[in-house]
Amino acid sequence: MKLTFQQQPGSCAPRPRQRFDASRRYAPLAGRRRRPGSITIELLLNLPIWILLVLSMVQFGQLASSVQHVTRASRVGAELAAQCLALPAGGQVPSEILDAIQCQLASSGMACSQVILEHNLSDTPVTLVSGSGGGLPPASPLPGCGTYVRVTIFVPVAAIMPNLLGKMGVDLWSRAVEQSTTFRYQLQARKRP
Amino acid sequence: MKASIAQPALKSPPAESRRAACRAAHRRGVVTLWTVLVIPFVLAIFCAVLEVKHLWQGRVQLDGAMQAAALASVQEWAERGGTAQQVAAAESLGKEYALANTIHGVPVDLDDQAIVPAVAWAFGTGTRRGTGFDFTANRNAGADLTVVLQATVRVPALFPPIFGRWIADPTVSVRTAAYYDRSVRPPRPRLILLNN
Repeated sequence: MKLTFQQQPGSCAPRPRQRFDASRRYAPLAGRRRRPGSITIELLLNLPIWILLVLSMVQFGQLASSVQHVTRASRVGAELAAQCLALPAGGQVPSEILDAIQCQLASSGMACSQVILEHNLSDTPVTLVSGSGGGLPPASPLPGCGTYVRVTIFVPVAAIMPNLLGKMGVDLWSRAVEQSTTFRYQLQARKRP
Repeated sequence: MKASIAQPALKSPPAESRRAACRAAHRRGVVTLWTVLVIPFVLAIFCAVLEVKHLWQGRVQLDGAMQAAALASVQEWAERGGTAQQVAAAESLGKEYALANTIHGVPVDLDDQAIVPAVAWAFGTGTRRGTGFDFTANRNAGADLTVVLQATVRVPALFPPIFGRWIADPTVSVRTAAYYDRSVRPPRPRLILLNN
């Protein structure tokens, strides 16, 4: 089968060429023509936004990652406190509990500023504080019956992440991450109400 | 019929400069455009990563709360005799210790269906096999007391306006088991790994 292509008369005829008047049609572009380096300048102007974005990711990513280690350290402290043969009724947190917490935190490259240990082994609630920082025990309720131990850890943000955004007005270094764990004291018979 | 195709005329200087001007005009603003288009996308991904991290942190905190509850519960059950009559008291004490721990500042109330949609307590015996323990449900166990606690908790989203609508109810689930070990002096509860 032979295909035939019907040409329309005059379809391939060259169009009449018009005279191009650049000064008239492209007058608005005439002043913006050929500016080498404009993209570079634009990139430089946008660079602070990208830097801010990347620094925020690094900083908050580091913070989010570190909170988990602080939680684990508070649990280690509470677990050890729950198995201590004797807890003091005043003064500072026992050194073996502090050492365990510091060891746990040191494995993640952190150090805590304050440790609060609350317990009721001697029938009355006792609060032991080690370190400075002015932190207060959490407001969450303590168990109403049984003997408990609650360990609260304060880790300054300065020990967790660099102050990358400090110069840009987002200064988190003055704050502290706080985590708390409550366990039942395990070496003493239950106090009957 | 021989069709003759009109050859394009040689590029005239005005046409060349016109294309260059158009190219320059199109290139200008392209970095800003990309920045405006990409930043929300990058921020959304970053927020999603933080949201998952937040959820995982909630799981770690729930793990601690469940361990505290299971340890307190098995200790209470053992000290009261380890029979079916003491199960309710042991469960109640376990709930108190779960409540004393928090997930992102919210106490873990095992009776609150809005926070904890599913919770299951199992009281029975644990038999050592290999590195773990086999659990058998038995409320009148008497010895080798073991409590298994499993809970699913809703974790409040970190970015509720953005992801709260996309991820309807992010929940985390944890199972923990505590065994009352009488082989040590003084006897004490400890966490175990279950084979089943």
